[in-house]
Amino acid sequence: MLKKIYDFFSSVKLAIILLLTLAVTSIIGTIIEQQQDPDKYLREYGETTYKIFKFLGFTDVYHSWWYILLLILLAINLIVCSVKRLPKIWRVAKEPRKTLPEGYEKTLKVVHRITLVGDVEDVKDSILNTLKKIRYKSEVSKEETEEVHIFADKNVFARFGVYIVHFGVLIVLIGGLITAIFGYRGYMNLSEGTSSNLVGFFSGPKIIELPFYIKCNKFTIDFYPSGMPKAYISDLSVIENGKEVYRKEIKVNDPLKYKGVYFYQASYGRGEAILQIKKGNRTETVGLAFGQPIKFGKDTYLRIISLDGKTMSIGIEFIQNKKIEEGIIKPFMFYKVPGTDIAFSVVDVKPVFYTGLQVAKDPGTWIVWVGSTILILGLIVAFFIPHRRVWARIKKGKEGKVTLVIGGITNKGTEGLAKELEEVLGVVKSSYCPNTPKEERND
Amino acid sequence: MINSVTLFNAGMVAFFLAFLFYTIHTFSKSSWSGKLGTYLAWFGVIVQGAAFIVRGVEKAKVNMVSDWTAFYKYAPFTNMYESLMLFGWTAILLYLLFEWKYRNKAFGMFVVPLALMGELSTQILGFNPEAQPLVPALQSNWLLFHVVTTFIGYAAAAVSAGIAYAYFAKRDDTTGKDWMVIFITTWFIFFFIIYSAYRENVFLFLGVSSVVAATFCGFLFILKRYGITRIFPSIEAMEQIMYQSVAVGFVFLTIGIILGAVWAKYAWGGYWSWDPKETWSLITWLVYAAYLHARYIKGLSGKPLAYFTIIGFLSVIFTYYGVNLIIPGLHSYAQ
Repeated sequence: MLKKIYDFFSSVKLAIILLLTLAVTSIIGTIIEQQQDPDKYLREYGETTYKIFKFLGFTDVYHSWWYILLLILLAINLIVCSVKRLPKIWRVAKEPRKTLPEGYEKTLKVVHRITLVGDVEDVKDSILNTLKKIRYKSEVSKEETEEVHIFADKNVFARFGVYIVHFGVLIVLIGGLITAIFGYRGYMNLSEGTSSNLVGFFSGPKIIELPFYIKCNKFTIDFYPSGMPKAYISDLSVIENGKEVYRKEIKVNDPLKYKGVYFYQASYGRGEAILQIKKGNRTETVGLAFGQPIKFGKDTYLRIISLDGKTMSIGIEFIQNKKIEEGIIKPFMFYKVPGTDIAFSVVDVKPVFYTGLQVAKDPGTWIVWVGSTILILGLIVAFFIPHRRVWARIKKGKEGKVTLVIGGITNKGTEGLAKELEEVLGVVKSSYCPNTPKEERND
Repeated sequence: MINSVTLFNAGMVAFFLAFLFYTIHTFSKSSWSGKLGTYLAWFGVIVQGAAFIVRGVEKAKVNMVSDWTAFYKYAPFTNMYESLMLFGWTAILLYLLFEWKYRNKAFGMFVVPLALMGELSTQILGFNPEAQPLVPALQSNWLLFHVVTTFIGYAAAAVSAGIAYAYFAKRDDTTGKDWMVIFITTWFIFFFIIYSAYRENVFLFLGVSSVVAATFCGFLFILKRYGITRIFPSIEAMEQIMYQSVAVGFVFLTIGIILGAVWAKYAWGGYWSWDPKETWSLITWLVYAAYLHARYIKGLSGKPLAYFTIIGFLSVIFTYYGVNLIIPGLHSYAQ
């Protein structure tokens, strides 16, 4: 049983099937818009279709159970395949046959046979020298007075390129997993002069409290003469324990980073509500950008969403115990916050700009970068660096003649190998071949 | 001051002449015409290379910057006009490198006109050739590196597909079914390219892409019928070149995707957002990954290899062209 599972996962065929299945199923998510409001799907597709989509996970393909299962299967397949094949490749790479017995040259990709005039020892030294010059690691694998064999090896690590790539892919997948589990991407809306430590999320009642505050000192939009926006710039301060500890102007493509949390210039909008908050007999006045939550108590938050100028009604979201309640309030009236001794009132709404920050924390990113680097290096090794091996047999013949058989194999592109062998041959020919060189090719 | 558009046009003229001489070379086998073709193609590559530099200067001007060390931030690859120029330019450059390596000018007649058609389509489809200022999201350190690596990948895929089509013309056992597939796949390729221009008139658009695809098939058929495909490398050599350009394409697409992820991390706060362009690049990557594995275990060769190569290129074309034009997303500024 275990053997069967092992065999199943160790087949490259499974890898091909999984890769293609992932490719085909990924298309779904580019046709159906992902992670939208149920209302939007209902409007576009109708109820039955939406139910089917929901059931199959088509509204969030890349986080559906079956997509993740495919990725896990691919990861297992990758590991099992590598574990199965690595020892074999290791043997091929590390324990090659180093001599070249008579007749074995037929298995080589490029072979030359040539008769020279000279001494076995001299020819051997000449070949070893040239091989060294073209960066082969060579050794004499058989040494007798009549017959000498040479074995030379270059870029043996290139045999492991594929494993480096697979290792890189695995690390990237692990990074992605860590992102999915520990990372978040929320938002913060800040009008000039306001600060907050609360990160909201577009879908749902989730709110994260940061251990420090971000204050927006200034938000500006630069324009080109044509009126097209050139840059969105937010001047931000990090405030920790009431003190400013860091300040930076952020732009698109140039975020602020503090304690592993990134703040990106993501959007902007208009609208700031001025709130009066009564707690006992103390009254406080604060500005709050539309969309930004404010905390009133444990698990109790409020968001100002909109203002209807005609009816003077203000749209709000009240979030308590992870539940959102939408509502409408009127300005200047005080509302008591349930579960607290706080009352609040909206006393003014200003049409000023606020900056929209994307707030992200992702401990998986660095792992993904490391995995990607390994992957790229592995690809370069696997595709562009050839492993080459050369064998030579030098045998003493009659009348001071020497026969040389030299040949080699490579795992990619024989032209390079052929060129190198020509070089070795050229050197010996010029030194040990006073007459026109006689070469018998056997292709 | 020389205008970049003038230089691009001059390059296109050189490419057109190169195509003529490559064709003369193929039919007459005279070596002077082949040499002239190669020189003209190199000349076009150099002129358009200069055009990109001039374009970069123009871009810096409209972006109102004078900091020359930041040249890579204003790389001229940010709208469909510039992107198609880069695509054609890279494809011809890559072809010339292949020509130099394999000492075979047989494919000049295919690759040069195809790349030229890509460049010319900017005129037909009415993409704005003016240097435009960059929206904030495009002002990135990673722009140059992400775009260049991706386009080397695209161009390698285009070369592999061109050879796959020529391969069918070369083979003796190409059946009616194969011709059908050739027609449908080329039709698809032109579908994406012509779609934006004739969107309002679907019938005209269907007609034009059918005619173009049929002309292409007819061209291949004539080559086969009159034995002109003899000058191609052997079947085995063509398979090898096909596979090698896919391998080159795969490596560069991988680097391009990863650099795109780095850019995304700084611009959008996450290295991967499942945006349609990202997803399609992943789909292409998966298809090519499957391809390489199939070649490895089953020694995928013959017609299936050529089919697989063409499927990979269809995915590339959709990632490059189709996604921008059909599916809205983070990359839609490229329109």
